[in-house]
Order: sequence, then structure tokens, then C-alpha cells
Amino acid sequence: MSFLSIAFLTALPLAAVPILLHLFDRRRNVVIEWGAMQFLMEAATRRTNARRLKQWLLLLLRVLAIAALVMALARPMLPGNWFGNSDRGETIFVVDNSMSMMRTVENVSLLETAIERTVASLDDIPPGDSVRILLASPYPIWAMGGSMRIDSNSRQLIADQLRELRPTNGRSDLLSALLTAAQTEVEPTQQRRRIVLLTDGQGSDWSLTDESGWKRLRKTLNSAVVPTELDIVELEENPRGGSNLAVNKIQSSRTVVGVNQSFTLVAQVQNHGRSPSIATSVTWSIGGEKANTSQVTGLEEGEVRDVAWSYSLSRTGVYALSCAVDVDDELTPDNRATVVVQVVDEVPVLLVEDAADLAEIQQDAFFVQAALGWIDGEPLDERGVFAPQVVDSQRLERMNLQGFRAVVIPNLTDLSDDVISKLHEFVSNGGGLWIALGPRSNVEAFNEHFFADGEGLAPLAVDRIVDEVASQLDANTQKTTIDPSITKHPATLELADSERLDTSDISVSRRFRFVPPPQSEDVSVLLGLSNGEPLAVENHVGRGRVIVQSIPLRLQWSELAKSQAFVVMVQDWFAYLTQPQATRHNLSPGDPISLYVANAENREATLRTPHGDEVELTADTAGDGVIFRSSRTILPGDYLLELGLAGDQIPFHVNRDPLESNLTPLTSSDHKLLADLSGLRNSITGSTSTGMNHADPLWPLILMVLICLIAAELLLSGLISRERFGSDPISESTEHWAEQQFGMPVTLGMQPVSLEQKRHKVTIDQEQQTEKVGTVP
Amino acid sequence: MLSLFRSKAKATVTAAPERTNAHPNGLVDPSVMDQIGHLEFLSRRVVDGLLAGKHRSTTKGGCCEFSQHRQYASGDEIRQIDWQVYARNDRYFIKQFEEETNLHGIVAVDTSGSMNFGLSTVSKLDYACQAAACLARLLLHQRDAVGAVILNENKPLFVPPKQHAAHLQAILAALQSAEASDGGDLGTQIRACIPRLRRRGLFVLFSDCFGNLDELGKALRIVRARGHDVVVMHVLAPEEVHFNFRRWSSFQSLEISGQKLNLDPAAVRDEYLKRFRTFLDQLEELVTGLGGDYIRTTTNHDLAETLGWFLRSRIART
Repeated sequence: MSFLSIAFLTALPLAAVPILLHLFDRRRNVVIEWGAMQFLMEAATRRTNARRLKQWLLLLLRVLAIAALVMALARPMLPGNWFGNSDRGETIFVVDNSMSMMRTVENVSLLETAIERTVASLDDIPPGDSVRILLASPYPIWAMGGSMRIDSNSRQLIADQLRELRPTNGRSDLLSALLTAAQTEVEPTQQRRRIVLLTDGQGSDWSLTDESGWKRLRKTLNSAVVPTELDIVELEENPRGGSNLAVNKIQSSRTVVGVNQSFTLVAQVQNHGRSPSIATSVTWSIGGEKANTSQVTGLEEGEVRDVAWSYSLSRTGVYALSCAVDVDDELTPDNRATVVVQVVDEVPVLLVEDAADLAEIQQDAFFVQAALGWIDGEPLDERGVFAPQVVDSQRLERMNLQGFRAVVIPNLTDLSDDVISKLHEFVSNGGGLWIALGPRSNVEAFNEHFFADGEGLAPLAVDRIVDEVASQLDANTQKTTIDPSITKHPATLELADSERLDTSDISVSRRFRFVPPPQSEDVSVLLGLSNGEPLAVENHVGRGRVIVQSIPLRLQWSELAKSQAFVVMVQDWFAYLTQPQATRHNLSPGDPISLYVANAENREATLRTPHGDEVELTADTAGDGVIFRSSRTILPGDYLLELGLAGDQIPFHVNRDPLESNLTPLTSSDHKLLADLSGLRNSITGSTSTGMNHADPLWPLILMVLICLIAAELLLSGLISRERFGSDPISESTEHWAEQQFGMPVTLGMQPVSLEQKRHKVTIDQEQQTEKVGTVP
Repeated sequence: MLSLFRSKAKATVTAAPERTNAHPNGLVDPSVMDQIGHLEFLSRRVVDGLLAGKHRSTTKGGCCEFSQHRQYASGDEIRQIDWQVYARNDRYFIKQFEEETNLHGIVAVDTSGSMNFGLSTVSKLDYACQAAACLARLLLHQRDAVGAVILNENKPLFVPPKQHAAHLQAILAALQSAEASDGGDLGTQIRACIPRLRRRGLFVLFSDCFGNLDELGKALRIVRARGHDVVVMHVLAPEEVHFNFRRWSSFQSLEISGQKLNLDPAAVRDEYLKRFRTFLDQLEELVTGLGGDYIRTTTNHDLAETLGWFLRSRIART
């Protein structure tokens, strides 16, 4: 027998405490000078052996209870075969159900092969052993509620459940799956564990670059409580070198567009095969209906080709746009990719204008309006999706910002504290704020209210106005211009296209200088200057985004407002700023679906998953409308949210990992590397056993015994206590006795209850009667 | 911690508290007398007395209540002849009357060692002496003759019944001098004093009655047979009735020196109470069986309430 906490055994002498207390209690007796010794002497001689036996038994129970508690704390372990035939084990089948498992060999998919092998393995598992099924894609998920004991009935049940497994469009993380399986808690009755991984041997699933993860797996297996055997079964014994052309993803310039506003979709087509592909057609479809076809030329091994398609939609709504390569290759599910685009009438934004009485081109918001396709509050023919409303700062103080997606201050002036706190709240709730500093901006007020020592809306404080022209007196010195390539920010990707736009030619003559952040802090810079200093910086506050730029959004201090890039910049940055409040229709696995519906009559909705499962959703109230939320988005693919009885269908799409399209199998060097990393020398080709010798925990049994001992002690002590103090009390006086029996007043003659006493009373009465009779002459 | 287990000097619970009544009058508690003073102690049996009192007399003649007729005999006074009966029957009958007489009461206090017990209250002997003193004062107050007997194996004391008020001091002094000593048979002690009870009257015994019940029964029967009204006031301590000791204890006898018993009181409580209850039942049957009154009280009870209840009960029955 071994002990996990042997130090507790030092407390074993405490078991003698009840005996010591008993002895000490006997020693500390009190001397009582007693009168009624005659009854005590008789009573003492009548003390039965049974009572003495009970007392000793009680003492024994107390001693055993303390000893059992100490033993349980020491956590004794017995050799594994102590309890006879209890050699039970557990088998964990880790099934790779990633997209690559959809490949077929002789019209049977690899996943079906994996399932049939698992079912066949069930017959080899002895009855009494336990089985668990772990799915590896897109992250480890237990297929059954828990461990299932093997018997004739459960075998068929497990087989049925296995055959219902379906592959996902996602990628497997086999390292995480193995870690999850190895770290699963071992039930006390189990003495060994076997982990069987069934996979297609696809190299991209193995995370070979994660060295620390593999070391952790090795450590986990080495420190396992029970011997753990790891079997890895590669189903594709003869990997084919076939072609696999895939549409990795579709990039869209915008996912929220206006009605009839043109947008561009770019599909990334890649040849994942190990041989060049042939030229093929690419089909674009909207909501499943074919919309356009384009061609893609033959691609070399690993080559990526972008296929663009510009389109506009004439009706508002949410559309799923797909791109598919028309080719029959080894893995067909990755031939298609989808992006969801929302078409809206307009997106309301707010422009702050504090120079309305000046000429148009001297106004603060004129150029921003123009860039959005609006003049004097009226839309032009070629307007964008953003509908600006122009207000002055005084009115801004009184306005409700809830209906707007973004607020732009093209030339910052002094704003009241109320406005600043209102803007803070607006941004925290997901709104976008674009602040442009200008001639009327007050440095101190900005630093105090907007920067606020790092707690405000602005990410950096400003220092002073820098006159770039004055510093360029030397004719050889180049003018200070905008450098859009200083960072690769998603909002400036298009601005950085120097072939199409003149961004890098925009000269800046004067600007505010940002105070550089401490070295330990990193600030997101959207645009920089040719001298390396930041021109526009970004901050995230709550759910929203804030852009602060050091020049105004008008023809002052720079040529930005009249440049070609200004329109693109305004449109892109508005799209970026309004993004947090827009519904996310393109998700990653696990990202929650959150759809706000205004004035919804029905609060019920159904979410249809890629596997065809239907999930009932109930909306939460949010303001005037409701919000439908769901986190059941682990499977990559197309989701459909059906709202109410009207049957409005809102598409969502969970993107898959393009790496899963890479079918390159593990090479022999990969196998070697894997063996080195995991420490499992024969792990891929055979099996190995790790772990220490098994021992059964004894303390649960001891704890049960302890409970029984305590229960018996309570029972016995209660019995003895009843015997000791359960006797009926004796009446202290005849007076009390009389009161209890008859109530007052009571004569002494009524007290006797025995026959003798009654007889006595009759005798007395007769005597009195006799005397009286005797007096009658 | 160890001090908890250290053997302390054995605590001895003394069962013989100091007699606190320095002056004999201290035995008569004024508060008790306030409550029982207005009550009367009436004899349930016919007693003999020389003076007119509150008790029926066996002396026929005098005045007061008619008792019976009997035939004239020579020597009878002529004036006692009932002439109306002679007119009807033509025979001489003497008319006899019941005369109220005074009572000769004896208060007997047991002073055996067991009477010295009193743990949470006064000792039984003190309680008994106070009760006896109060009754004696009450009887003297109603012009009855009262005497006292201190029942003791070695130093018995008898104070003959007298009627005058100053006699109370003699009774109180006797009660005050009573000290509990070794055991002895209560019945024998009672029988020893019976010859000194010349006139029929009231015999009130204050005792715990521990000892041989048969002997006590015999003695009381003799007392009863001599025409005395017997009242047994059974004085007990509450500890003796309840026996609620919980810790291991060493019980030392108050009557037999050297007799000692170490035991767990709770373990023998059941048996003890069973025997004690049997004893109480037997004693009650014994006393009531011979026509006496049995009053059981414990020393934690208010003496005034106990005596008051007893006296009211007697008045109600008389």
C-alpha cells in the first residue's frame, strides 16, 4: 500500500484521543456526600454487561472514526490488482472530421472509413471498458456526453452515434485534440487508457511549428495517472498526388454597400495540388443563383490568382455571394467560397460644421460632404451609402447620437464637456469618431479633454503646430508629403495603391505634431508623413473606433481635400468607422451571431447550421427592437437565420481556414520531427506506453467506512443517551403531583391512587359514618 | 491544553452546610408564618384535652354539642338526666355532650446522617426543622399543646407537649440543637418515644424515611394504634429525586463512614430512579394505609406553599 499524502499519518495517534478523554474524565470525578446510598448501591450492582459493552463499543467507534479520517486524508493507494478482476481501461477515439476527410477512396470518404474502423475496433474492446469519442474539427469536441461503458447494448449505440458523425468544412487541430484526450480526468476504476487517433495524415493539421504544445503533450503523457497508449492511424496509406484547386476566400472592398453602389469582390484562387492546374471557369452566384462567370488560367503548384468581379445590387437586403471554380478535383468542398454583403439605403453619419457662414470651400465639412456625394445637404447622382447630416457644435450638444454610425469633426474647435462625454459614450457603444485638428483647435483643451492622460478618446496628445514650409527653406529639402505605406492598416489598403491614387503626392504645409508615445506603448497609425511622423492615429474605446488626424479636412494646411485620394479616404474610413455597429455577417468559427431587428413583431427565429440542424433562438429586447444572438457557429459554412413567420432569411457565413485545402501529407521528415517533438518515438508507426504503475485509490472506500462509523456512533450514542436520561422524572412533591392530576384545590384524601389507598379512604369514611350512626338514639 | 487534563484536587461537594440559624427564633420564618398564620391545624381524629380548644374531645359532659344518650347508672349526677326522654320512655337516660378540647401535637424530626444532604438547597434537616418550628408555632398559636421529638440514635431528645406560648422557645431550642449524625433505625427510634406520648394527639414526622420501611411501618402503626393522628412529611432533596448527575462521581455515604461508590451516575440513573420510585410508592402506601397523611416535598420548594397547601387540604377534609 502506498500513500499520496503520507504526512497525514503522523496524526494517527489522535485516534487515541477518545480513550484518553474517557480516562481523564474518570479521573476528574467529583466527590459527593450522598444520603440515599441504599438505592445507589442496589442500582450499581444492577449495571449490566450489555450496557458496559455498548459503552466500549461507542469508544471503539470513535477511535475508528478518527483513524479512518486520518487514513482518508493520507489517501492510501492499493496495488491495481488488489480488488481482483478490476482491470478496466478506457479507449478514446479521436476522429479527424476536418474537410480533408471528405476525400474519397473508391467512392468511400475517409471519414466513413475512419468511422467503420472505429466501429470494428469496438468489438475488440472488452466489456466493462469505457469509450469516448472526440472530434478534432474545428476544435476538440466530445461527440458523446461522456464516457460510455462497453456492453452488448452500448456497442450498437456507440456505433450508431459514430455513423451519424459528419465532416466539417473546418481544419483539425490534432495537437489540441490529443492534449484534450490526454488531459481528460481518469475515473478511479480505470487502470489504463488508450488514445486512438484516426486521421488522413494531412500535414497542415499537425501544427508542427508549435514546439511548446508538443512538449506539453509529452509532459502530459509522461505524468498521466494511468498508463496511456497512443495509437495514430493514418487512413490514407497511399496519398494521391492529385490536384486541388480551391477558392481560399473572397475579399470585398465593402460588406455594407448602398443600393446600386458598385463594389468589387476579389476571389483568391489557389492551386493546392502538387501538379499544375488547367484553365477553368469561375462562377459567381448570388443566393445560389448564377450571376457571372469568369475565367482563371492554369496555375502552377501553390500559385495564387485573384479573380475580381464588380457588381451592384439594386435592392436592399443581405446577400450571400459565392465564387466557385468549376473543376472536379480531389477535394470539392473547397472549390467554393462565400461572402455576405449587406445592401442598405444609407448609413447615417454626422458632420460637425462650425464655419457655416463662410464660403463653401472655406467651410469645415464641405469637402467631406462632397466626397460622400452630397452638396448643401442634397445628394448628388453619384452618392455613396453614407448620408451625412451637418450640425454645428451647439446643436451637437443637444442631439441624440443613437441613430448615427459615425461623427466627423473636420476642424476641431473647443467643445463643451457635455459634448465630449456624449461623444465618449457614443464611441463606447460602437460608434465611430473622426477628429481632424485645424487652425481653431486648442492644444491645451484637446490634451485636457480628448487625451486626458491616456484615458480620453485620443490615443496621443498633441504638442504644437509645426510649419513644414518654414522648415523647407532649403531648396534641396523635399516637401513633406503623406506616406500611406507607413503601415498596413485595413482602412488604408486602397489608399496605399500609389498606381491608382495620388496619396503619396499630397503635400502637408502645416500640421499638429503628436507627442510620441512612450516606448512601451504602441499606437495604431493609419497615415504617416514622409518624415516618418504620424499624420492620423487610431484609438479603440469600448466597441467603437476613433481616428485623430493632425490636419483639417478642408483646403487648409494641406492639399488633401482637393486630392484624388480624398474621396477614397473618406469612403474607406467611414466604412471602417461604421463597421462596429454594422451586423457581422462574415464570421470566424465561434464568433457569435448578433442581429438587431427594429420593430420586430416576432421574437422567435430559427438558425439553420451548415449541417442542416435547426437552432431555435429567442430575441433579447434592445431599445426599440430586438437582438437575436447565437454562438452556435463553430462549423464553417453557410448559416441561415429565418425570422418569424414571414420567413425572412438572413444569411451568415463562417469562413473556413484556407490551410485545410492544402492536402500535402506528412512526410517522413515530418514524422521524424513529430516524433522528436512529442517524445513518442514510435508514435506514428506503432504505439507506446507511458505513465506510472497503476494503483487503486482506497480513500473513497475509507470515507464510506467513515460515514458508516459516524452514523453508527450517532445511533449508539443516541441509544445510550436515551437509556441514561430517558427515564420518566419523579414528581418532586405530592402537591405537584396533585396539581398535575386533578388541579387545585385537592384534599389529601384524594391523593392515594393505589387500591390500598382507596381502601383506606373507604375505611375512614365508614368509621366516621359508624360514629355518627352510633349517636342516633 | 494539558491543563484541561490535569487532575484537579478532587472537588468535594459537602452535604452538611453550616446551620445558619444562630438564634432559635430563626427557625420560624416570618414570611412562612404570614402565609400559614391564618390557617388552622385541625386534628382529623378525636383527641383528649383539658381545655376547650378547636378539636373534638372524647370527654363527654359539659356543654356544647350533643353527643349521645346512655342509661343512668348509680353515681351519675341527677342534673344530667334527660327528663324529656324519661317522660317518653319512663327510663333514666343521661344526656352526653361533645366538648371541644385542645390538641397535643408532637413534631418528630429525623436527624439521621442522610438528613444532612443538601446540594443545591438547604439541607433536608434544616428544611425539616423549619417546617417543624412553623407547625409548632401555629399549633401554639391556636392554643394547642405542642411537644418535639429529636429522633437520634445516640442523643434522642424529647420536649413534652405544653400549651403556653413560652413553650415555643423550648421547642425551637430543641430543634436548633438537632444535628445529623450516623444512621440508625428510624422505626426503633420512634418506638422508643411512643411511651412518652401519653395522650392521644397528633404525631408529625419530618424525615426522608431512608432505611428499613418495615420497621418504620411497625412504629407508625403503633403510634396510630395509640390513637394518634399520623402525618409523615417526607423531606427530600431535588438531586435525590432527579439524580441528574452527568460526570463520573464518587458518592460517599453520609450515614456509614467509609462507604464509597465510584460510578458514572448517568449509567445507573435508570436503575436508581426505578428503585427510588418503588420506595416512594411503598412509603406512600404505608402511610396512607394506616390512615395517616403523606406529604412529599423537596427542599427546593417554598416551605410556605407546601405547609399552606397541606393545611388548606386538612381544613377542607375536616
